[in-house]
Amino acid sequence: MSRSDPVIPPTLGLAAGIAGVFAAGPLPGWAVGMLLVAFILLGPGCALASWVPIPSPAVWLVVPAIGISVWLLAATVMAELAIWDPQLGLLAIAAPTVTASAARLAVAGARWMRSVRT
Amino acid sequence: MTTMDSLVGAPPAIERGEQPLVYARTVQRQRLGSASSLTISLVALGITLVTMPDLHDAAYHPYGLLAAAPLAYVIAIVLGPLAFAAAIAAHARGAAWVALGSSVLVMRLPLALATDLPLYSWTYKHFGVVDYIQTFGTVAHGVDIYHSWPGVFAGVAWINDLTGVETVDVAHWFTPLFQVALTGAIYVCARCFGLSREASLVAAFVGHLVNWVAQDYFSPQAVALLLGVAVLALLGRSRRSPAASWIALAIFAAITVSHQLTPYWLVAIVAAFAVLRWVRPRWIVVLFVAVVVGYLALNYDIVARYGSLLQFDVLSNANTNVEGAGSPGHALSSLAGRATTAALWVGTAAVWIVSVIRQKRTRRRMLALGALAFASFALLAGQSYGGEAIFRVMLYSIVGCALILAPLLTRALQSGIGGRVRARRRLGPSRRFGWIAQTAAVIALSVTALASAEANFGGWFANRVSKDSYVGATEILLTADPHTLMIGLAPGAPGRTVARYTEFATINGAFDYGVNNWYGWLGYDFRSDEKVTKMTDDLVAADQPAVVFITDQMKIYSDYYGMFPPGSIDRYEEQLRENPHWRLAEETPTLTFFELELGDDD
Repeated sequence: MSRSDPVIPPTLGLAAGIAGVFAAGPLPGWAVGMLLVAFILLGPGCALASWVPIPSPAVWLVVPAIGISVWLLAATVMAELAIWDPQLGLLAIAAPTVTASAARLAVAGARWMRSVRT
Repeated sequence: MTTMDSLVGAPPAIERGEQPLVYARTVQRQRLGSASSLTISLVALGITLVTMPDLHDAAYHPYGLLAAAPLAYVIAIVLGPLAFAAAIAAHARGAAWVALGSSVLVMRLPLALATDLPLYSWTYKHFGVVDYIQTFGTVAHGVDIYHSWPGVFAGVAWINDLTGVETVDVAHWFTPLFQVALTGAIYVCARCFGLSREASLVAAFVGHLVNWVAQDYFSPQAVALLLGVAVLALLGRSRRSPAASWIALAIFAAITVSHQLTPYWLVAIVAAFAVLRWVRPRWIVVLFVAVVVGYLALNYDIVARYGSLLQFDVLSNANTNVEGAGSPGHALSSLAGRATTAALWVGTAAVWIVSVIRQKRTRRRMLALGALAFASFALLAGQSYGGEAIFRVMLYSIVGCALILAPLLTRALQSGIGGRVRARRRLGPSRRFGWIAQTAAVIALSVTALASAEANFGGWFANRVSKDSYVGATEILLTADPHTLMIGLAPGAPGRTVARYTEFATINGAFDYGVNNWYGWLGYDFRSDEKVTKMTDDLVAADQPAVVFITDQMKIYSDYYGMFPPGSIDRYEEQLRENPHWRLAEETPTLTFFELELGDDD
């Protein structure tokens, strides 16, 4: 994964974000667990890496760290404000992850189309 | 590229345009070193898995798990550094990764596979906070300090709610997973501070090896440390990428809501980096301080209960919270831990001072690494952290020390047998010195592995929680009157395992403190029933509901730390049996539980 790569981070972010959306659904616990691990470790971090260049040696550590940090901060907000809703909370993080990643892919796609035309 | 080639890594000789004969000999040595390393790693892992049932069923030994374990397991621990050294000497990075992973599993897998439940009775007090959030969907501010720094607890509660996983299962596997993650994090951090791939691997291995301090159980500080290493990695690159500082700030915010101490260690490092111009923008240190001070201000009421925020007594702050006169077993593991720590700090300081003085080109980087290694000592100037500050100083210093020592260790490991031919030739007349340096490095790593394992496993039996005591303690919390005092004699029983603990703690914050905290009880031999009689009379007079639970773990804990003379707990138990006010409520092979009968005197 390189900082200038316009495809891999958003693709991974999109896939992990979709995994997060599915994890909020009525699936067996083990399946939710696997989807959740993929979402937390890759989703928010890759979505951010899609737009903000993360220094290459740090990316392997920072992408999961961002996911864990977002998870802890969102959990803290839910608990502190007593708005605890595990499924809705997950969707509230997964949705922007999917959106940010998809938007980055769309921008990259549009640029590629323009370059092909010219 | 063959599998062996991928394990060996890129042949360095041909990259440097060396002669074909030299290249052939280099590749041959690399393959030999790689194959040796892989074989040793797999043998060590195999031995560990084969001996796991013996580790699980090991009978109590006052010198801890290593003394009770089969000799083969002890050998497996030493094989880890040998495999790693062979791989690094041969420049076989793939084999080095395997050796690192194998060593981590050898030294940490027993915590998950050779136990029925998570180690350390204090791990369990985190369960109640998680359960509270799962049950009530919020936190109970003011009950204890955990509810004011709920990040990790809330995160785990969220995962539990979504997956149906129990906290006890998360905690049981936490330590091995943490250690794997920590070593990976140290590797990346080392790369971000400009170390080569091989030196970064050595840094990760050193970080793993010296981490005897047992702060890797299911706890906020463990997660905070991992995230903290990510912050350090980002700060290491922030001069080239200013966005890194802003991302680090976001991760720092998650650390701030999760743990009380880790943010202050990081702030000390960011401040040092700002002075050294290692971080960009430099003024971001103001935002780091604002985040941590702002969150502290929000929770100042709970912190104020623990006394003054700053206690400027370095010597007092450096004291540990370990009570008791000790035992030969405890003395040995304590010596092993102290020796490992002293070797790490003295070695690092020596290398750092020489590097700062002699290497002008890399002086600023060495100063930054010095901040990583030694900033945690600043904590001692302000807080004892309940007698745990010195352990945290050690824990936090690991990353920086590993990064400082790694380049020198790498050179030493690559300067003798199996080392690159060209490197050995370059040594010329000092070729013999290279061999000595390599041997010394291998011995140092092996001795460190053993010392670290003894320090970590010395208290194994004192900290091994039985299912009976876990179930029994939980049952009491679920069913007893919340005014009840839960009296233990010494640490050695899991407490606060469920949300209902908050009802007890709201009425009496010290409802489950051991009698070792009572004035005049620590060290008492119970040859007279004077204290038990007085305790009982006082409780009855105050109409205070109370239960006493005594676990086998408590007895071992007391013997290990020398809290009470041998046989004291048995005498205490006997006096409770004979006292008519106490009813034997439950007795299992590892747990005895008495209940105070108040009705008799009413």
